[in-house]
Amino acid sequence: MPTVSPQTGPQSPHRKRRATMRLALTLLAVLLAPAQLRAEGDAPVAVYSHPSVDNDWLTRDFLRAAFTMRVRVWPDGQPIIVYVLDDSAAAHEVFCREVLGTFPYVLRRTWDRMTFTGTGVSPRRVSSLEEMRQRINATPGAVGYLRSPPSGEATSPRGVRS
Amino acid sequence: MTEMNLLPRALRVGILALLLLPPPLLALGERFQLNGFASQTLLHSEGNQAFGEDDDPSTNFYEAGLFATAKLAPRLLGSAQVFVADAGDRDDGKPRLDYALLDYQPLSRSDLTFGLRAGRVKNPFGLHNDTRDVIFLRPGILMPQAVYLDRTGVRDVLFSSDGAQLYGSTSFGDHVASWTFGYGLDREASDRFKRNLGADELGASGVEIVDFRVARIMADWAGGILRSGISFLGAGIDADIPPLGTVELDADIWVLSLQWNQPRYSLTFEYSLLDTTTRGLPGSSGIDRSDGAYLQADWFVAPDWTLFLRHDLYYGDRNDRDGRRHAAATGEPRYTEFSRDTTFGASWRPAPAWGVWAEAHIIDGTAAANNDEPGPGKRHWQLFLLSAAFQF
Repeated sequence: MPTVSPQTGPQSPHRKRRATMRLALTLLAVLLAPAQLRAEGDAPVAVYSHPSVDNDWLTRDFLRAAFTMRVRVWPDGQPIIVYVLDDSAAAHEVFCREVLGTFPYVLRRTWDRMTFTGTGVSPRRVSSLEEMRQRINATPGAVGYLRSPPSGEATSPRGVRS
Repeated sequence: MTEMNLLPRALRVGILALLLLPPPLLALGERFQLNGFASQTLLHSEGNQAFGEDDDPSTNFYEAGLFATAKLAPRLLGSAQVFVADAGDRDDGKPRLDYALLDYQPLSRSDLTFGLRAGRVKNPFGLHNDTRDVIFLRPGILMPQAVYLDRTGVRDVLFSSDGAQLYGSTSFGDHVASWTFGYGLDREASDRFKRNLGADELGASGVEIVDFRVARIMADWAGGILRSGISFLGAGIDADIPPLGTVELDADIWVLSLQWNQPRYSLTFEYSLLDTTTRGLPGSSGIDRSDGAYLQADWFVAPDWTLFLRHDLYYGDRNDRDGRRHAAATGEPRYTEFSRDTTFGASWRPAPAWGVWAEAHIIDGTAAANNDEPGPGKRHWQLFLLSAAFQF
């Protein structure tokens, strides 16, 4: 049983240090927690395309037309190749909502309607954002989406122009 | 005579052109997509038959399709589907070419697109006509009869036709309007259609589908949260029925479509007006005016599970909705003139590649029934269906 000594009284330096450490840990936990909740789910997603695709073409209107397979070629005549994640992927859901202004199931129905009537090809599905990055980098005319990098990092994904 | 022999000359030329295109344009892999689907359905009916089934439960309900789409050039698509189905006596299990077309889109801007299709093309009509062959895209196992007229065997006429379509779209703000106009070449009715029409009993020959026109204008508001549309389909059926001579039937169908899409639920409403004019057949009143409507609510209760509830109304004569006038004129029970169908359904989609569907129809009225035995049938009857399907 530790004996209470003058060193561990209520106002002792030892107690103050422990209290400060507890406070620091609590603050750290508070600061980290929201960031962690945001890391999945609602982290911002931005359009990403091959260098052959001009930034000026990536307007909201054109992206909507491209991702719903309404247009087949970029303004320069290059075929548009669309890449997407699985319907249930968090990044896909964010992209549908924030950039395309729709829901994954509505978009899925639009693709299915075109595929099953022979009037369009469905977007190419990839299984991860890393595969998305690789495929888009390797395919002229390709467009898809990636998570926006935290500010300060060299940018690769392009913001949406409206 | 198989369906393949009915390909029009233009289509044969199109296929030949595809085969002669330089190999780089036809490079497989990235530019070629092959898909397929198959479904098997179990059907049990109480009181009346929906398709003149033989057994109970009937397993004579399956569909399978194989289709391919090729990007032949940046603005040119080619596609085709082979399909086989059995649906009681409404279909016969013989494979056929559902569609085979070339689709060229010369104008491809986000604010304006324009293109044309030629060959055997699916008819865009209402929200679901051009995808009624695939259970994954249907609003249920059976199509809403109010609008899509499965059981009268008209699927053949409605579904696809040999001819051409012009199509386009324009965007305004967050909304998109798209339109399609199609024209079908005159063609001889398939054996299947003639059978469903009762052509043999009438001693009809030379049954032709003529003057086929289809048009649809759809608007997708706010990214497809609200969809609205108007569709029109017109066609004529000409037949030689001795000793009457030529009998002509003209059908005009208008459909109004509305759909409201939210993350956890979706509401769909469609209303259809059908006018048929018959000439040359004594005893027919000249013009028949029927209509129908359905309202469906889908709940996405879980990522894999959807429940739906639908009320589907069909009236053989919209000026005689309770059938009393028909009963007084013909002595048939009044319930043969209408069909009021309440449907409960559920679907389970554990993976994109497959799913299971189930639904129960509680029906008042026999306008949509198709019994084997003669007689008006039972007024109140039920249908239970269970389907499993996969796609790739």
